[in-house]
Amino acid sequence: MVNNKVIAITAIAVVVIAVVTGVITLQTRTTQPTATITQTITQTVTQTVTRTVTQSPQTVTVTVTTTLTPTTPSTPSIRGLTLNGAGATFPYPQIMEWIKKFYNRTGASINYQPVGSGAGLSQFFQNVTDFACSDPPLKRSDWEKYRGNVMQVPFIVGAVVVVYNIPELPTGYNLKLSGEVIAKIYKGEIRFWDDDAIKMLNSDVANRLPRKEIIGVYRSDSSGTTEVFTTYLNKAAPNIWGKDLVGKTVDWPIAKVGRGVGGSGNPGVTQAVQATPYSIGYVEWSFAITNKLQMAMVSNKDGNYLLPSEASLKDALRMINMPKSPLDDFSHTLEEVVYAPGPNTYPITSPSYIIMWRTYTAKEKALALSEFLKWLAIDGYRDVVPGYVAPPEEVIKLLTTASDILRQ
Amino acid sequence: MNNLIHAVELRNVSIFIGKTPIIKDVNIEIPTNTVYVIMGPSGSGKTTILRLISRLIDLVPEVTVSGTAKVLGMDVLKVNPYVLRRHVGMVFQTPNPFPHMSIYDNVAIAAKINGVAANKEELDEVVKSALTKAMLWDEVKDRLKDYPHTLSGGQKQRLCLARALAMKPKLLLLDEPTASIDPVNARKIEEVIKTLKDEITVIMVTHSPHQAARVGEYVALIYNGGVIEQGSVRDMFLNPRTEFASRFLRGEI
Amino acid sequence: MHKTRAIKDRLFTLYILTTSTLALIPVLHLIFVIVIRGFDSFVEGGIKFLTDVPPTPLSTELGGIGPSLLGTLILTATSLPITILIAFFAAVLANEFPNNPISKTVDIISRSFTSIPTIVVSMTVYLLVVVPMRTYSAIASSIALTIIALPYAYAITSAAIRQVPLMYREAAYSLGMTRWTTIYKVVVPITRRMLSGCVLITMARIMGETAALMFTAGRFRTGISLQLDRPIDAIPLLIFDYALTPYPILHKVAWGAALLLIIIYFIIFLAVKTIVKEVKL
Repeated sequence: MVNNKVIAITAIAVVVIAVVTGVITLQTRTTQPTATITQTITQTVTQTVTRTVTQSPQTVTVTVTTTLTPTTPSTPSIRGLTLNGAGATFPYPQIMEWIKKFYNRTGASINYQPVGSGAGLSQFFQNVTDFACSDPPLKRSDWEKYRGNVMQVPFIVGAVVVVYNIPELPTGYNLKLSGEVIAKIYKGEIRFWDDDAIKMLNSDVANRLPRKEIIGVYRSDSSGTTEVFTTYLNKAAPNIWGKDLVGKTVDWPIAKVGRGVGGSGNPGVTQAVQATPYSIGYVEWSFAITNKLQMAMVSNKDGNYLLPSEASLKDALRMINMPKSPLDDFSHTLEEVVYAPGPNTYPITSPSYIIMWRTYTAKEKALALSEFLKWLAIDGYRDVVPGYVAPPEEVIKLLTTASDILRQ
Repeated sequence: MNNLIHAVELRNVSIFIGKTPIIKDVNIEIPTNTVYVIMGPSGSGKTTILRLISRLIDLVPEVTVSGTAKVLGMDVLKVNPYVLRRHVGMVFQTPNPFPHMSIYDNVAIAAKINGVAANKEELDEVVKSALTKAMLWDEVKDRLKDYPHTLSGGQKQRLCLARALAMKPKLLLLDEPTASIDPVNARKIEEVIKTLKDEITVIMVTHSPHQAARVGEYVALIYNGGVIEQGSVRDMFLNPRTEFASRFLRGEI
Repeated sequence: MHKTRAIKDRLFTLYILTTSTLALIPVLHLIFVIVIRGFDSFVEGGIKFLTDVPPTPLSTELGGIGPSLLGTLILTATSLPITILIAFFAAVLANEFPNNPISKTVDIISRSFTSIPTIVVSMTVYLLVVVPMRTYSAIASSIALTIIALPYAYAITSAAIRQVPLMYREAAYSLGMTRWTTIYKVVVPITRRMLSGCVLITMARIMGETAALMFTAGRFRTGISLQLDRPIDAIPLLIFDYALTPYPILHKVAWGAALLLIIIYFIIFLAVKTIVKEVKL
């Protein structure tokens, strides 16, 4: 027998919970983040006073004309404001540095969600975040949709490194591997470390190369790093590594012959390479540096063998047909930066893009973002985290341009 | 209510659980201020009758009751069960003192719920008198704050008795109260029951004819959901009218 | 014959002891590693580890996990009571009216939802709360945590209430207690040990949940925020983010954070277990 009292109490409880939730949600929608924007404006005021005295004592007409001339441009305060961003995990460590320095300088907070380029972009387009960070730039079709309203700048540069674990070789030594050789290794066609192809490129250690099977480590999860790496392999050796093997997830041929190991995330691949003697893998440069992995010098388009460095990464960026304005289309730049021509370009360079709107309904967001970009251009690249490189000067200009556009 | 002749009147009462009849067309009249024993073999429906009187029958799913049942002048099926239960105390087959309350609190809660005591002193009095009536006071007076699990089975049952008595009920129902108790404690409980009839009407269910003879004044013999015989204890035991009664009293059933 | 029985008995006892220990070893090892690695961070950071903001890759000082700690406490303080209240209410109702279709539905739903992938909950709450609010928030995080914790809390509470022997209820009714007084004064107090266990388990679940916060929390790590409609951080989220970077200083912070989480939980666990006494039936 169901007591009426019970039904009443349940109904009341449900209603109370619903009302409370509703009130809180409404409350948050109507209260916008308030911040005080103080501007000091110096005005020159001219007053013209005309008096008409009549017999009736009440009528006095006073005309005042004022002309305002702002003299010094203002430095508005953005203390207490928050910017939310989401996107690639790759630039997260550098963004962490920027967040802290920017907060110490201005009191404005930035929250960044390292959830991946794809998720970052959708959250940006859903207006949950104020900016996104993506390893690949906006596709042409996406850019067309928001044309004139969306801005992009490749604001930090990283690289993918080929690493290996050969105990016989000294740690300071960097094995030379061409794109073609690496492609053949991951295709399963080069089986041993003492293969002639590898010996030919490394004559000084040729007799130290062991006759051991090469274990190929790859990313088991969906990864932008894989995409960049396989793009390089395809460009360096299109006849060996076809377009069908390019992408965020790949059907690795070396796994099919039983010499492949999957690692989850950059940490996973790092651990796999460290734990598996005679293995080869690919990771973000920051992981190779901090874990002191053996790095390979890879061949670029001009045929030179290089390690990533500030100079070689910047040179790769300079090879891009860089758009003149952040409002332009950047979709071609990824193709251009990987395996770019030039004697000193690192062939597996990977820039990350910041993506933002041209205008924001909340004026203080535009202001905060503008200040951030301005600060980046001036101070942001003073201390760069190991594994990351500042973009070249033409890109810094783009940052300043974006900052100005936001202020309009 | 004080001038009632009968504490309980059941006329043509039948109880079904689903389609199965448990009690069939029972007619019983229980006078006030007596010890009335309902006895019979196991499974005959005695406990069901008891539960009807205290309205605990509600806890059984799919139950239907027909006929008229009056307890203390109130129509059992129509009256508010909580009102009814305030006047009806019950002691169950397995002793069930509240395990999370001390001995004192077990008795006190009965008094508090039914508004028997107005303040702490009166409450202490009620608890002491209830425990004394249940012949438990001397054994627990120094450890009222202890928990019931420290008591033996017989003591637990007397505690339940004290708890029921603290309510100051008009009707006390006992469902085979000594079935799981040792003989010494069982005797004590029977002693207590006999002293209660001046203030309270006691209805006791048992499957032992000997206990019925020791304790009761009136008795009803139930078998298979129906009343076989009822009357004063003397009449039934000296002159059983039915063959079944004779065999039951001799212990053959 | 008597001797072989004794030997078999001993062997079986030995077998049980061995397998139980083996089952415990991974957990013990885990705790051991966290203590060893996290202890360094405590020693280096001192009391500031609990209040400072976290370090960045180029930092020289260890910093602390202040914002994340506060965030975890706030989120636990908001989700836990709501979860327990709802679960408790639902369990009591389901027990009092077992044949009601609502009770049966709640039972089935809660059983299937105990194994719902938490990242799915995060995505759903993101769509339902974060997008309309246009911001990450503590509210969205609490909602996600509550959804995930509810099925567990309900299952445990429901089991606890169900196992109270019927005879105590009958005694309560016979004394004239109403249905709700019985629940409040008899049924619930008898289950207090199990209920407190339920609260502890739910709290552990909430404090350690990471995926739920992935798209809802916002990772506000630059300072202290007490506003529920603004982004917030939590310790497990911090650990997750920092563990995936290659920088040793961030790893140190992550280990220290993990140890802190264990210590906080352990303290509360001990407190509850000593305060709430067993009810001997």
